Amino acid sequence: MTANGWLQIALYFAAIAAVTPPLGRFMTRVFSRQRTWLDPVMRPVERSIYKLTGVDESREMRWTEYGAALLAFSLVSMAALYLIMRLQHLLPFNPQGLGAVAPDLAFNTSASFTTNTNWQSYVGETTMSYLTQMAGLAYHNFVSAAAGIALAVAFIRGIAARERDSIGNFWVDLTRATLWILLPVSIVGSLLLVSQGVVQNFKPYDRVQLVDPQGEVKEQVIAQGPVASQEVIKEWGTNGGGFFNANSAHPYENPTPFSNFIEMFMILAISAGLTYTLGDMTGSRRHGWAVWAAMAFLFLAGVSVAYWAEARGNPLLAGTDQAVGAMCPGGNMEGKEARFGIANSVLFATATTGASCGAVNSMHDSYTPLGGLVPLVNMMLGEVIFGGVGAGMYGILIFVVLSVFIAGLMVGRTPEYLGKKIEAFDVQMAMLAVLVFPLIILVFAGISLVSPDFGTSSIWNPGPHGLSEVLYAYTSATANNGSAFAGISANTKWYNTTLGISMLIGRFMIIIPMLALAGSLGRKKLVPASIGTFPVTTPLFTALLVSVIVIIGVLTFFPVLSLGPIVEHFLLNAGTTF
Amino acid sequence: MSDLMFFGLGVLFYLLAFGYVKAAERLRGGRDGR
Repeated sequence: MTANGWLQIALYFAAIAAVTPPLGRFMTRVFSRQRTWLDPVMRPVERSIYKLTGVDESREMRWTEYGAALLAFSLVSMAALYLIMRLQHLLPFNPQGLGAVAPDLAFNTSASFTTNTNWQSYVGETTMSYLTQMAGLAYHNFVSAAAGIALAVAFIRGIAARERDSIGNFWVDLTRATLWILLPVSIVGSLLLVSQGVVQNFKPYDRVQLVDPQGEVKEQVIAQGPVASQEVIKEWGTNGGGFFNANSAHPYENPTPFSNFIEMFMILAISAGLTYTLGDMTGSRRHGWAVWAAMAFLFLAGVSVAYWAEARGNPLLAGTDQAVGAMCPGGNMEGKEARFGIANSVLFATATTGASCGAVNSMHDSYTPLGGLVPLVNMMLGEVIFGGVGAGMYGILIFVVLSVFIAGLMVGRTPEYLGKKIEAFDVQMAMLAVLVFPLIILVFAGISLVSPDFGTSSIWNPGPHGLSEVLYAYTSATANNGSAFAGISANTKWYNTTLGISMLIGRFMIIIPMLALAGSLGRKKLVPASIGTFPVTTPLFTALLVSVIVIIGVLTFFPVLSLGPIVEHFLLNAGTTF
Repeated sequence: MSDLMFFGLGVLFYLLAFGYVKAAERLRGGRDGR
């Protein structure tokens, strides 16, 4: 570890802290329909969209209608993406003449992009036409992120409401999130990335002669495409699906340390800002900061462990020079880009898995066992360490409800959250959301790990590392993260289908109980705070929230983690590698 | 055939999800439940 590395981590963290209030305030104004500086441009566009689609923007929705609108929208857009992929060989903007995407892969990919997961069982540059990338995948990058933000705001409205049946209008929230939050930054950010060398064109792929031919191989194909426009929303919407297979490790997606900083910043900015929106809309900014502090603590703990584990190097290479020097970044550099080094690789890995982004600038499979454990645990905690845009906020609010419930049990009073009594139905919904997540991961990973014909046959590494690869895949899919540990051939009928199902369940079977909880909270009367009320604005609340998140994660996943990365760590120190 | 199967799988999932919404509402005691 170096002072320079820590300084870069501190700078990044300071930037996230600094953007939280202004962005949070802006989002409050957007979703409360107050005037913003973007209104002169966006309001006419918004009105035209409603006119065209017949949406009545003054109409409020109950949680059931809000949920049904989300499901209908997702079903139709998922079917549209499936069709685009199956028919891409007949459609324009396909200069490479790429064929139709196979049905199982098309199902997996359409589920993946609809759920904001962006798990990719394919190589982008050799599978998807420019039209599929733009009209199919990039479109979903916008709307799946906008849907997440809409849902988080609906949940916050439920908390803030007093005896109200409605939680907003899904179509209005979706449109405003896209036009006010996602689109403007995507335009400016794309130009910034182009200035750093990210490509943006419709050219066929370049063919160049190798300076140093490798036997029969004398030329190289260099993929092109409309990359920059997709790159920004990939991070800003915490989508993570790369234009190229190497994702943000590819020099055309992420060429410089500055572009790397922009991309990392974009991953966490909206999710951090939403904590301020929570405080703003519920009238308790201190509560927003208390939630922010819990996220920040877990984030810093993760990045510190990963940085320590990777900078320490590989014990099997003891005796070789793994120290930091002018010509050597030191530590475990396998699978990392020299232009980013260890600090910016682990920072990216922690941010991308704390959020449900899934973009990568290094290969997580090549991390040391403890370094690789951090991204895995981040996802297992439910993607609430700032989390995906919107998804992180409603995810942590479910934990907040559970924390308040546990605090209520401790003092023997009916628990309250910001003046709302937490009753049996609310806890039932919170538990449904929390329990479905490990159920899907552990059942599918378990079946895969005992099935040599279709499960273990896809694993590249034996032993505990192979177990981690399968576990990571299902965790990433169910958590809607989308990053891959690699080392597993996931483009098979079994993995494509079950990972697709995991993504759909991981998204919607958590959203539905969350919306039910929001609807229930919105209808409640406000109870004045008393001496027995557990305050949700103090460091004690933050500590309890962190404990609940960690204990639930540890209790659920410790057995399987001990068979994977933990035992691999001890075996590596004993001289065995996988 | 495969296309139909995956389409069916997707539609089945969303039907289940709509059913989940209805079931959660019923558990709450319906529209007027307290």
